[in-house]
Order: sequence, then structure tokens, then C-alpha cells
Amino acid sequence: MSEQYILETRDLTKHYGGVHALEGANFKLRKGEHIAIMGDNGAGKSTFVRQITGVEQRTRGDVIFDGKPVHFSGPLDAREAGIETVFQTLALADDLDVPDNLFLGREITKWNFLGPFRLLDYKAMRQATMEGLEKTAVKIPNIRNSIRNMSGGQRQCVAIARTATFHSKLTIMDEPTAALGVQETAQVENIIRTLKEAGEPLILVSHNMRQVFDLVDRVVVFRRGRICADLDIKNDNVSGEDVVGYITGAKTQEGFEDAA
Amino acid sequence: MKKTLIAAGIASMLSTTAMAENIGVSMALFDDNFLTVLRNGIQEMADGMDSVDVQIEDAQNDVARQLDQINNFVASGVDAIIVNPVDTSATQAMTDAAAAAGVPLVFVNRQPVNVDTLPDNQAFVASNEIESGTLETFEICKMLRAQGLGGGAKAYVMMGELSNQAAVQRTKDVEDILGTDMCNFIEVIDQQTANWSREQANSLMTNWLSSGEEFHAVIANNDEMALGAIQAMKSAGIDMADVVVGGVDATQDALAAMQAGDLDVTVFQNAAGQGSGALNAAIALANGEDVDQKVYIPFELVTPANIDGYMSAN
Amino acid sequence: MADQTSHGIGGLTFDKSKRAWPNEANVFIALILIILAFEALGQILPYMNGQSMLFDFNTSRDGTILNIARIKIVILQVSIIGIISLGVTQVIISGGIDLSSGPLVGAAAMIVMSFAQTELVNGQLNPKAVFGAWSFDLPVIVPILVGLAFGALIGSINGAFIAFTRIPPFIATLGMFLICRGISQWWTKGQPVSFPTEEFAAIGSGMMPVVWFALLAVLLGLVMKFTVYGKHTYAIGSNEDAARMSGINVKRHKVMVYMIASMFAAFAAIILSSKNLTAQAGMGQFYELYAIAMAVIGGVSLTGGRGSMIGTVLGAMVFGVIQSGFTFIKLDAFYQLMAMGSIIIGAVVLDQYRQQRATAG
Repeated sequence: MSEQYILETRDLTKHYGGVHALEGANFKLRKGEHIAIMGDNGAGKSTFVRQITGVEQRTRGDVIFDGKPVHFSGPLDAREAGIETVFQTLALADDLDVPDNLFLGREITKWNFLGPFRLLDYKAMRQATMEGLEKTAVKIPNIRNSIRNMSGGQRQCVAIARTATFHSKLTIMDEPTAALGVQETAQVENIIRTLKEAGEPLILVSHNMRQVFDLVDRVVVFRRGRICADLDIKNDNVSGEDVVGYITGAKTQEGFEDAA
Repeated sequence: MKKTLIAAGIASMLSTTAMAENIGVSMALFDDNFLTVLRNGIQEMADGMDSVDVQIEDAQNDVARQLDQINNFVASGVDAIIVNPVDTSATQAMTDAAAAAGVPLVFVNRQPVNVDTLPDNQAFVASNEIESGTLETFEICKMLRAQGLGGGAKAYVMMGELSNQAAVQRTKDVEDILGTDMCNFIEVIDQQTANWSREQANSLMTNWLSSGEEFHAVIANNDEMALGAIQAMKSAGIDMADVVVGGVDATQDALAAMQAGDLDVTVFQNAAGQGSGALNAAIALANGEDVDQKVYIPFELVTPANIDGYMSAN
Repeated sequence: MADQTSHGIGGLTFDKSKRAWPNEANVFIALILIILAFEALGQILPYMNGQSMLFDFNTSRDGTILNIARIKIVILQVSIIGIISLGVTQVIISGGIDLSSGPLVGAAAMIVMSFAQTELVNGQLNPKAVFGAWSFDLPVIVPILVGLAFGALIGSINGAFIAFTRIPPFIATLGMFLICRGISQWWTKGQPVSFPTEEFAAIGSGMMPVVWFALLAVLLGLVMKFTVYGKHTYAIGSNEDAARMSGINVKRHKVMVYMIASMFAAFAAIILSSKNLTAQAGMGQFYELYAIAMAVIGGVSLTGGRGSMIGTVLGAMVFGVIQSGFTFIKLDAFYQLMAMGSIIIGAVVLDQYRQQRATAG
């Protein structure tokens, strides 16, 4: 039964001193599924993401990734296990080019005995970059020019392409289009659709109702540190207003009464 | 003001009863070779005397800092102050500060602009920079004549740091001597500054050499620059017997170069003599004795003929 | 400008007209212009009698129409500071700054020279000996290693403070500036140290400083372009958070960056004292500023992430040409500093103007 879930959390809890930022989160993500996490500010979305990506250590609860219980001591552990995160503020270096950015921190190298002075294998990195870009259908005529000259949307696409290059098992995107214009948002959403077609699971944190309804299979709503709704928007008859109701607390789904 | 006098008076009485004279010394620079010898001379002499303590401060070539140091010395109640002025035209303020507190002050090595109006408890011990450049240039002039160049010769002049009175005066000495009838056969091709530095003098000389102009002498404001010029000329394959080179200071390095036949003229400035003269004057003034207000320690010309007497002097 | 998206599939295009004109080309052009300016002055100014700076049509001197001696001194006089500038360039690329290089040169020179002394000077005992008889005529590798070790020590202290505390690099290295100045004066209480062994004197003799500068420029240039160390240095300077989030050990890297910079400065000190056959406490004055200026003229960005060794070498040559140019036109000594400062400001302003036009267009 657990093989179909790429990520599962049980009773995931985080307290900051006396503040219960996250309480008893039971979350399941199937392979190939796209889930949106929604909620008001301070509802616990970002806290949840931080626990499962290893940025912080949880107070209580289990995280099971790809069938195995995990305990990430830092974000690098999560990355190595196959969880890739795309942040709202990009982790890109403006003055470097596309392959440099894609491979930052995990460069392909030769002559490793030289330690920090080992040589960069530019050819291999360019090759892998082209493959990653093709996989996400991102078009860049010249990958060797610096990122500085690209627009916000283009750079976000590069950041997303990074996840594909490294055969991630799970992608998490935290408000990826919040800072983008209309046309650029469309670009990014196209790539997300490409990921769906490829069967890559995704957790999308978003405030944008239209985007959520366009892209994802399920919506999980957080309120006051707890999950208060788990909605199958593709199959059930759920509207945008319904979701807003769950976010604000006007409604509570059955089975989630403790969050009320 | 009265309080300061009383305080100074009490302080000096206390120090007399404790049998220790406290002398404050403000040096213009710590990392200048010549001044280092002078400073060490004062320190060693004081170390050798039981009842004298010196506190030596570095003014780092900063006029304002030096005045602060003097005021600090006055406030700590020293018995006398020795000052090696950063800027010889800024000495009136220092004279006034010490006089107001009744603390004796001795200027050393550089002649203050107010040397003729010093109060009774202040004095000055130095060498006259008019002598240094004059001795150097005159000797070079004689050497060139002896080489048969009395019909016309060319020279380069290397100046020290242009904000130093020594550089300005020595350069003026050169100009004055070269203006006399006896020496006006020498034409100055160019005069530039190398800031007292061997490295800069080396680069400057190499630049001059690359223009290909013929020359017969290099007149430098100090030994370090003369040595730099010599290095550059040797690198270019010039025989040092063909060029007359002069410097000032008679440092160990310069004397070694003179023994090797590279440097022809230098001028000895008696740092130890200036230092001990200043210290003695300071102690005497602190004890209320009379001293000569102006003491000139002479510069001494050094050539291969009399070099042996100076080998261990600096 | 034209930003097409294609239908359906996510598309990115890249505006080719924004492709960067390499910064180094601008510096090279500036260099040529400055040379031409001095040549023009040589013709225009009446007292110059139509001389040329770089050309010497009296071919019997060098065998060529170029003034070889002048070309040599142009590069020679900036090689030592140029070496320091190479190290400082990678510090600036990483987003930091190093103000301690000048006094470090002074301190390192004093220490190195103390281990490079020779026993006999003109047949007499070395009058400037610092240590006892055991320190005379040591194998030349000893002072070199001592110098590099000193540089590594100072650099790692700089780097450690900057990496592990919040002290800005400006302040940390400024503090080290003062400490090193103190060391250089304290070492022999201000007495210069002279008379090295012949092997030691050979290191910096003749055109060797240029050779060392060229070798180190090539070496560091290759490292910056082709190794992980170089790439991470650019990354940290460009976006330190991104670098950290990508798993780069930023703290450890910063320590290394400052260590390398100080070791380059120490090596410059070895060459300086070897060339001048002496070490003086006041050596290296203003070197840190000239080194930074050379890097900035060469195109390094003070905010980090951009710059190259080639640019720095060109920046050094700009300095060299200006220095020789002043002597060539016999510019009054009083004007030289002012002129140099104005040229530096002008060069940087021009460069920024060109960069702005490139990104705005």
C-alpha cells in the first residue's frame, strides 16, 4: 500500500517554544500526483514545507519518503534523497550561466584528487543541462550566457529545470509565480504541466486560486497549524469559494473537526 | 593655567624626589632608517642612565597627531619633551603648548621655523640641511671636473618625499650649487621624486634609462634612492665607474655600496650625536640649568677616501 | 526587446543583442587609448622634441623599432603590485575586500629577509644580521617557505574572522592592516634588514618579477576558470545565499580565499625584498590601494561575482603605462599623484557607463 505514496507524514508537529506552528499533520502524496497546499498567512504551510525538506528539525511525528522513514539533518540531506525545492526567491547566481547554476554545489568533475582544485567537466555538464532542459521543454538558445540577462520567468524556468536534471523524486515549489508577470506565469505553468505529463509528483504552495484549479489534482488546506481539508478537486464538485471557506474557517471538512 | 603650572611643578618635584626624570619623545616617523638610529640612540642613552625614563611615541608623519602627543605629555606631567617635528613650519603651536605648561621642550633633527624666538626653556639640536645637499653636490661637481667633463655634463636629480623639509632643502641645495659659476657646467635633465624609496628609485631610474639620453651623474636626496638608482643602472649593464652617484645618510647599505665602488658620495648625519645632544639638553632644562638654545651638529662628507671612519657609525 | 514565447510548451528565448561584450576588451581599448595619448603629447609638447614613448627609430640600440627598454620597464614596475592584485582580485570576486596587503608586504619582507641573510658582505661580517650565525646562508627555500607560511597565517586569520563572525571584510582587514604595520616596525625596531644570499637575490633580479607575475596570472586564471574553487568563488560573490543553499561550504571557502590572497602578497614581498636586496619596515605603503585599483580598472566588480585575471593584468599594464608616461613627458612631480587619481576615477566611470548602456539597451 505504501509503494504508491512518494511522501507520507504522520502526526508531523513543530513547536517553536510555546507556539504550536504545526500540529498533527497527516499528509499523503501519491506518485505522479500534484497537490497544492493552501492557507492563510501563518497557517502552517511554510512550516510544513520546512520540516519535510529538512530545513528545520520536527518536534514530533514521522516522515516517510519513498517508502522509508527519513530524518533529514539538513536541506542537503533532503536534496540527496531526491527532494528538490524551488523557492520564491531564487537560489540562482546571476553572473553564472545556465549549466553553472544547474550544477552549483554538485558539479561534475575530473581529477578529484586535487580536492578543491579539481577540474570542472564542462562538456558533461552542458550535455546534462541540455537533457534537463529538453525534459522540461525549456528553450534556451544559448545556455552559456549569464543568467543576469534573462527575465524573471525565464530564470524561474531554469530553477525548475534544475529539478529535472537531477532525477528528483519529489519537487516542491513555494509560490513559484508570485513575483512574475502574466506571460511569465504562463511559461512556468506550462513547465509544470510537462512535469505532470512525465509523472513527476509535485507539492505546490500557492495563493493563486486560478492557478491551483488549472494545475493540481488535490488541495490540502492548512488553518491555524492543522490540516483542515483534503479536497479532490478533479473529481469532486469543489469550487473556489469552497476552498476559500476552508481557508478562512467558515467551513470545516468532515473528519477534520479538531482543526475547527 | 596656574593649575597646570602648579601641577607641573608638583610633578617635577615628585620626580626629583623619586630621582627619575620622565622625558616624553615624539618622533615624526618610526619606519625611517635615519630616525630609527636617532631614536635608538636616545633610548640606549636613557637606558644607560639610572634616573632617566623616556617614553617614545610615533607621530606617523601626522602633524595633528604630534600636537596631541605633546599635549598628552604635558598632561601626564613629564619633566621635558623632545620633539622631532613632522612639519617644521607647524612648530609654533607645539612651542606654545609646552611654554604654557612650563615644560621644557627640545626640537631635534629638523629645524623649527620659530627657532629664533624660542622661549628660555626650549632648545634645538640638529644638523643644518643646507649643509647636506651642498656637501654632496659640491663633491659631485668636483668629481665630474676631475673626470674632464668641465665643458658640460648632465645629471638626474632624485628627490625625497616632497612633503618633507629635508627633501625640499636638499633639492634647493642642489639647485643653488649647480647655479654657481664653478658648477654650472652641469645641466639637470630631469628631477623627479622617488619618495625616499629604493624600489621607486629603481623604477624611476629604469624609466629614465629607457629614453636613451646620455648622463654622467645621479644626485639623490638620500642613500636609499641612490642605491635604487645604482641597481637599475647595473641591471642595464652600465659600469658604475662611468657614473657619479651621490646620496645622503651614510647608512650601512650605502657604505657597503661605496666599498664596492658603486656609490661615490654620501653625507653622514650624526644621528647618535643629535640624539644624545637632545637628551642632554632636555635633562639640563628639566633641572633648570642654562643651555645653548641652538646646537648644530655638523654634516660630514663621506667618500671612499675617508669611509673607514664611518663604518660602524650608523 | 523581442521576447517570444512559443505556444503550449514552456519557451525561453534569449536576446542575442544583449550578449556581453567582454569587459576585458574595454580595458584593452583604454590601454591603447592611453598609449596613444602619451604618444600624442610627445609630439605636441614643444619641449619633447617629437619623441616617441614606445618606438625608438634608432634601431642600432635594440635592433628593433620598438623601445624595448621602455616596454620592459612598463611591465616591470607594476609586476610586484600586480602579483598582489591577482590575489586581491579573487577576494573581490568572492564579494569581499582585503585592505591588509600593503603592510603585510612590509611585515613579510622583514621576516623573510631575516632568514635570507648572507654572512659576508665585502669580506666583512653582515652588519645587519637579525638572528645569530645559524641564520646565515640558509638554503633559499627556507625564507620562501617562511614567507608563504606567514602569508597563510595572516590570511587564515582574516578569513576566519570574516567567515565566522559578522565583522565586515573592510573592518577585519583594516585591523590586520594596523597589526601588520606594527609587526613590520616591531620585528627589528625599525632597522632595515639587508644583504641577502645570492640565491635569494636571484629570485627577483632582472626581469624575474615579470616572469613570476605572468606565471601566477596564468595559474590563477586557469584555477578561476576551470576548477571548482574558481566557480564557487564566483558563485559566492554573485549570490552568497544561493551558494549556501546549493551546499557550498561558504565559510570554509572564504577562509581559503583570504589565505590565497595573503600568500600572494607574501610572495610579492619575497620578490620585492629580493629585487631591492633589502627589507624596510615602511615597504608596501599604499600597495593595497594600488592593487585594488588595478583590479577595478581591469573590470572586477566591487559587489562581487565578476572579474578575471586577464582584466587585472591589463589593469596593471594601464598603471605601468601611466607611470612611465608621466616620466616620459617629464610631468612635474607635484601633479603626478593628482593626475593618477583622476585617471583611475575616469577609467572606472567610463567602464560603468559602458556597462549600463549594455544592460539598458
